[in-house]
Amino acid sequence: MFADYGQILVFMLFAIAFVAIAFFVALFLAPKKPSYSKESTYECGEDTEGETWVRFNVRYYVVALIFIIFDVEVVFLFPWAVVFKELGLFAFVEMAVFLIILILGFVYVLAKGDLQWDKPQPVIPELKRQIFKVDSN
Amino acid sequence: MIKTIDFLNSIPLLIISVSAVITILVGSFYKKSTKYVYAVTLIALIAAIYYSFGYLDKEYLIYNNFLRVNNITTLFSIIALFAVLLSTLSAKAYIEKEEINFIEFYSLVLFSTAGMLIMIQSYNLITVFVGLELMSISFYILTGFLRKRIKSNESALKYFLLGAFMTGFLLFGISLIYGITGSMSYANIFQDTSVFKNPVFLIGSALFMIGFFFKMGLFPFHLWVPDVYEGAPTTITGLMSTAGKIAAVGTITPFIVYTASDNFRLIFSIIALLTMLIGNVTALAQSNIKRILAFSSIASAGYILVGVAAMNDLSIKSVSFYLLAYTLMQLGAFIIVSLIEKPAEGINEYRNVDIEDYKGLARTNPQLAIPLTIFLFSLGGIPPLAGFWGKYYLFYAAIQSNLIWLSISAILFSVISLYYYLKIVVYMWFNPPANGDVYKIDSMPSLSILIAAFLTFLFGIFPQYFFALFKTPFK
Amino acid sequence: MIFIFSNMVSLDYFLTLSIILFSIGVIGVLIRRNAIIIFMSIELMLNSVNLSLISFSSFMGDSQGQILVFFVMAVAAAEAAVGLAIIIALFRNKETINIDEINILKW
Repeated sequence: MFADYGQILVFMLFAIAFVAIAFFVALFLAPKKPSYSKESTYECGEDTEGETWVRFNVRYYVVALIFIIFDVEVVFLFPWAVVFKELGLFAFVEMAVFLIILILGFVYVLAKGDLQWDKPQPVIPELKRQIFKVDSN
Repeated sequence: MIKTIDFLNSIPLLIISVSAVITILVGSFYKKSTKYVYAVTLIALIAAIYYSFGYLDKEYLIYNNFLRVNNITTLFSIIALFAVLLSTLSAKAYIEKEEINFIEFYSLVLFSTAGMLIMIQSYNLITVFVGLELMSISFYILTGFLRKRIKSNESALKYFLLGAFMTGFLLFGISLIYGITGSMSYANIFQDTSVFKNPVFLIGSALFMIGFFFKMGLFPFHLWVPDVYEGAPTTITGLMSTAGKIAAVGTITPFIVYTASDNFRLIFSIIALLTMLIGNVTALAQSNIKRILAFSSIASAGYILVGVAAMNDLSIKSVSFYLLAYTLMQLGAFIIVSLIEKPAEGINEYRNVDIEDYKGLARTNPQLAIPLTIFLFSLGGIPPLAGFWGKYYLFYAAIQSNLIWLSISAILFSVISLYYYLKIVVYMWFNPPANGDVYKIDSMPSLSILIAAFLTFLFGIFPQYFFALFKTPFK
Repeated sequence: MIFIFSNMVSLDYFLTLSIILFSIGVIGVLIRRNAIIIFMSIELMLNSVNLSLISFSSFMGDSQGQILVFFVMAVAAAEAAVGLAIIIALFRNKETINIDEINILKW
């Protein structure tokens, strides 16, 4: 029984060895010419500004929460699609009812205006709680 | 395949779920329609109760044996719907006072009601889970509905984390039951009685029951109850402590009565004893009336488990009668508490919920003090009120199963509980007024208080009226 | 590698893994103090139950367990949305999600 895991072990050893060899080869062969732009934090070519731990606009969270729900509900479509041909019209009606209820939820979100981005008064991200203590002098 | 007859046999569930979806949609398009949504909610609940009465003494399995309609499920559904109706009647005044008069409130109440109905009528572990979660998720949101108030947020977070944690145990229990019996349907689970002795099945059903014991607030899982009941908006506390408990009891009681063997009786008895002890003794030290009622609700869960532990013919009968009586008195008390409570006005606390604030209430507000006295007497089990007969039937069922020690201790705890109920009554009637406030009462809350007080008396004097509703006796 | 999973591994291994994951989740809930991490531990518990349901279902050749898994996933997503919303609401008022500091309600 455990002998079968031997294959996995050999596979893992090869994987580790391959990565290690690649690293060491790179370490010895690669040229090293550090410069300011190479050492800086990568942020799409711009200089980094401010702390990394800023608070994001709360609308991102709203969209994320809505996304979670509508994303996962799609899981019911997969088993439905597999048996759709055998069950025919019945399955179609069932899924139509399900999707209509799901779309009603989406209509609610739209009507509430939770997905609108062009609201006035942008919220400037501000760090109320200091992560590092900053001396005022 | 779903047949048309299935829809005809589940009209209350359809009414509730369709009106829940419609109210939330209408409310999102027409922001000023709160008044109409309130009316629609009430009409939907009344219609659901009306149609439920049609299913008494009937026996159906609907939606491919996923739901079951019979005497017991219909009875629990009616009591749960009735509890939701009473609390919704009085909710409008409260949420207007607290400025949380949103349409989502009614919609979430309806969604949670749909969850309760699915749970109570379920004949399959899948529907049990879905119904339980529908109810719980609605309750999590409703608990945090006062979203500007830290207490409400905090209680919502506690309820959510603990509720989800217990859902994990419940699901693990379901998976073990499924693994042993090979089916999720009650029909197959109950069929083979030899499997009930299997240790894996015992562990599975114990985990399954733990999930429901948490919702009922029984002993080792009661710690969330006072915190959540204190932090939640008061009408929601009333709803959770009655309708939520009815749904949990209505789901688990048939399961226990069908599957559990005598091995479980001792465990249930000990849990019941400890729950009554914790509930009643801790309530003595409380001064916040919402917390007192929360501990009294824990104690009530203990009394209910006394009836469940009996596991005989009288169990379901006595449990259902006690649940009805408990709904009337507990919900009535919470409605009055919600009327006396004052809006926050920038303060991050619930105001006017300490029992000191109830001093002299009989002199300033006799119209509130008199019904509250009735409800508290009924909770304490003083005849001739519904609470007395509720306890009488529960303890009688226990005596029938030779659990005499449990009945005697339950009566003793009941006597202890009189202390904290009567303390409030004494404060109201025999102390000088703490403040001269006269509370404004709208017509709808007073209607629900009147109904609750009237039925408390009616079932106290004629308890047989309740059992006369059912022509065929319970199984 | 298919043959390893088809007939060599017995049900016990899947259940053991499921119980280990469930226990890790329970321990995580009990010892961690950050509300989000507690919630992630709860999700781990739910997923370990999914594993045991699927393995029971697969070994018995019965589809009901897998149906429940779909419902568990959907419900867990709804629960995640509600739970994160509650955590955000609390954070706006209180500026912390450490559950040791969330302690107004106690007797």
